[in-house]
Amino acid sequence: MISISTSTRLAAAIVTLSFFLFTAGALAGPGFIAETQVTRGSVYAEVGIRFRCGVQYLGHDPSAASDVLRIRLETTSVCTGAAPSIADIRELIRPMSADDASIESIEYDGESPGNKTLRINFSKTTRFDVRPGPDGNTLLVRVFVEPAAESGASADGAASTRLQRRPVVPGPDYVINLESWQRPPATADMPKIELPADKRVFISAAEIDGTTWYRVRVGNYASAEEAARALAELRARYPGAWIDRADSAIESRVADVPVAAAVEQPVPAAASDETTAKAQELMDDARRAMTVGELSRAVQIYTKVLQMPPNEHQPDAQEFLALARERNGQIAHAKAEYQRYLEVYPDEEGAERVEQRLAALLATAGARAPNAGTGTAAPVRGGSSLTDGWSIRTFLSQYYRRDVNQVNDQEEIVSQSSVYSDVSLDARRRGERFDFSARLTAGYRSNLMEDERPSSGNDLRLSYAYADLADARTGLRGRIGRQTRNTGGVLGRFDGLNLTYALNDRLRFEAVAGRPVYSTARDPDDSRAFQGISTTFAPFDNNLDFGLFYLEQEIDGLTDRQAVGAELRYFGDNQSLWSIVDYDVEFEELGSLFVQGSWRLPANFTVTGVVDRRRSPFLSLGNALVGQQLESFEELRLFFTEEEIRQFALDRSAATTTFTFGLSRPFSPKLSMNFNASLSSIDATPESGGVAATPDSEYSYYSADVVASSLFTEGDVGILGFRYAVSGTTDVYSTTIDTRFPIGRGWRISPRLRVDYREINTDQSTQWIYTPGLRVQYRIGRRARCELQTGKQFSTREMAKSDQDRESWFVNLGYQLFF
Amino acid sequence: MNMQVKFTIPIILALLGAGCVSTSTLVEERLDIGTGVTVTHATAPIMLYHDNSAYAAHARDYVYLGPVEINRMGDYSYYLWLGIWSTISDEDRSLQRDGFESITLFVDGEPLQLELVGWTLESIGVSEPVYVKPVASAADAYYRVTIDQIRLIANAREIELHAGTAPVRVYLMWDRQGSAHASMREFVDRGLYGTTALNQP
Repeated sequence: MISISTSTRLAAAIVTLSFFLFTAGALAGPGFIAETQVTRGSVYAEVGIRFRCGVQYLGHDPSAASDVLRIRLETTSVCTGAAPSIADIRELIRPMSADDASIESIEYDGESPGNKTLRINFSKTTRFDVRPGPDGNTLLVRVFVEPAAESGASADGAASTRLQRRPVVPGPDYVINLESWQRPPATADMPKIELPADKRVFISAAEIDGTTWYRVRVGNYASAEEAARALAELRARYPGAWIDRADSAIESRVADVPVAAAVEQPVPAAASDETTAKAQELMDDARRAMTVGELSRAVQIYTKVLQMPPNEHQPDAQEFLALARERNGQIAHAKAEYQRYLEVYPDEEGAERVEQRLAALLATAGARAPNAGTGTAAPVRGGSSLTDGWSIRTFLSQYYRRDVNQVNDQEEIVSQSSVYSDVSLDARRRGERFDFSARLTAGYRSNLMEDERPSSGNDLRLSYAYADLADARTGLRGRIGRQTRNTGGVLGRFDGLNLTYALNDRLRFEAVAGRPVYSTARDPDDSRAFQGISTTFAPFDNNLDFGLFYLEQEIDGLTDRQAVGAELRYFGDNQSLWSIVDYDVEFEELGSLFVQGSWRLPANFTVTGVVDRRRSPFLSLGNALVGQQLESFEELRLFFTEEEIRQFALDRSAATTTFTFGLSRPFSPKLSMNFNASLSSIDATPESGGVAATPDSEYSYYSADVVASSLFTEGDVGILGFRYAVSGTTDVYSTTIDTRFPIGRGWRISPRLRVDYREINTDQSTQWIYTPGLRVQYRIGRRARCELQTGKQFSTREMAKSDQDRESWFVNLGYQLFF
Repeated sequence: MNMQVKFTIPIILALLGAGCVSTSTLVEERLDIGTGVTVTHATAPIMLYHDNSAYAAHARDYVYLGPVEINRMGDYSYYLWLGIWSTISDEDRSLQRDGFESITLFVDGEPLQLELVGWTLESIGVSEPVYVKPVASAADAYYRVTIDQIRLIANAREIELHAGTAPVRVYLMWDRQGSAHASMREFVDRGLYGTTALNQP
């Protein structure tokens, strides 16, 4: 196996960096319990217990009341700032404000695998309720306070102010608060739940910090315990529900809140035709308001529709209310309204669309912050809240490859039988200011043949191993580790650091330094190191990007490359242009020039052209090693002067030029054609440094393709291609038939056939080659797919004295999963 | 050699001239004469590439990616156009379509499974090409998406495309595409602030 020690060190550094970033927000503490918090309310005290690792709540006993509460847990290996083994300890703590919840101590026993418990010792027999927290590593314990114990004042200052004016009300004391709204709840907002005959849904109102809250409640319950039992049943639909004293609800009336009509109103009956017509009128009005951008007015109208008796327009009104708030920059409100839609209308046809909108809103909340990244920053609208969780994705794929050859009925030769496995881990966290991401992508080839050749052995490939941090406030972004770049003079993969400073969306500066990685299966080239700077900006046109770069690369202390260059990219209404030029100031030679352009003409003709001129291999001092019997550049320097080496490098870097011209046109929506002509030339190279000269050569081809759809079945496609290629030694005539059929939702079948006829000028022989193939793809659900590719090639070569028959076949069979 | 230079310079000048003669908008809207639908698209597509550096330093497969809105008398539908092409002179051009029947776009790590609608204009119900082909041999592919998926793409820092399974071909986003992102965002904002999003099916 090939060593990748440097890469391993790099990966370790990234893991370490990730570790510190993971733990940045964690509270310091020695044990498994990271934090406890006791919050005293008028009905119960809530005890929040946060652990260093993820926990799964299994159950508790006794079920409702005792002086000891035992909670059964299972822990996960997802830990914050600690090794998973920290979950295997014992510890005893007493939380701050423990007396508010009558707690004497909390004991955690993790020493018994499969039987981990959390024991809460109370100072007296207490009623309680347990539920898992929202984040996977928290438990919430509600300890109900005896009414007698709380006469007088509450721990909450604001609450006690209100309670001071509370009149004494006889009868049942407890209610369940299902939801609270900042607008009067509409009919559609009323819960559709079955209740015992003595319970009813009502609305109360309370003013907190100047905001009026409209509360949808169920009650009344004679005791906190009865309310808790009912709460347990309601929690599935109302996870945020909570228990309150009934007199707190009445207090809103005492406070004379102007929502008398809403208070304790019964669930209205179905709407009349008149209501429906009125709702339709309002919807039309709201739509006009949306169209002209009067979003606040639209919000008011949609709210009005929702407050009407039930009618068929309310699902749309709920969706468009959310949309209006979203467009108005009220992201938090929009999210709440979308969530409201999904709660109230889970079976409506728009539910999937709303789900997508909500998902997009949640996902783009972070992306809409100013970023220091790729120029993708969108304008920030309003004070959108950002998602604060980690997103971790895993991608896994494996495929088997087998190649077999046979000549003239001799024994078959298996040239490859390997399993390729690739895995990619992608972790991201969006923050208010910092966005962090890390990626690790590696692959392994397992050779199934008993083959002793070194090149046919197993190998490990490390494609990516980097950490990336972007600071939205400063516009800085840094990426360290194994990564790729394709601009700024960097030629692909490297190990190093890339820094970006984004002044705005269209102007940015970059600095890069590192070592090139020519093969993912080997360490980076230690003899080479580069550093460079670049900038991209949009000087003249909306659709024009322009970049400049300078890059210097050394090899064993000498200048390997010293490149200046530019990139220009333009997309117009009917034209596109992309050009990259790289000039080596050390060699005073053009390293590469690539120009690709296309122009749409009248009658739907599109003309395209490509000019590609470059040194091959890419111009660098290290090319002097090509053809030499020496193993390293260091050895080369022992035998030749720097000037000689520079000349050898130029001599080995042949200039190649390719001109391609194309013409494309759709003749109908089902049929299109394109024509291509290409001419390539490779210049001769001289003899020098003991390496033989090579002659110049030319290669050209002319091709035509016809693409037609829905030939046999709806959605199928057939491609018929003709090609004539000519080089100094061979003329090749090819015909290709490629068909693709969709079958059902998951299957795609692609049979194809190619026939080549070759005239080989060196020995005046001819050859027929037939290549049938089949490709089958199947999608399994949303997160998996598999594919089979197989093909066979038969060839017959007629030579002056004898014929030669060859056969070969291959099979690729693979799958991919991501989760 | 001199002949090549003589050919090269006029071609480059012509292409440069063709590209820079007009000041363009970020989003284009036009009437498709053949079908009577209104077609809206971003002018600058996002560019993705698949590195083939083992073949040659600049050998790459490319995918251009751009959104399309089709308005049929107020009935809106959204598609993603992919222009698939390569700088490698494959003898069989049809092979470049392999794996694109079912692709996965990872948008800032979030996977979007996209199913091919078709390879020709018929699949989206128009009669004229929407985007300018980068090269004549490029394969057009169309995928049905939602405006929300387009919004995700428009706001993404990183986009990665996986095509095929055996093996998976991974396309990464080309660095620094300010105009393409501006164009995508303009497209989405027209949907958000115009009338189109209201009329989604």
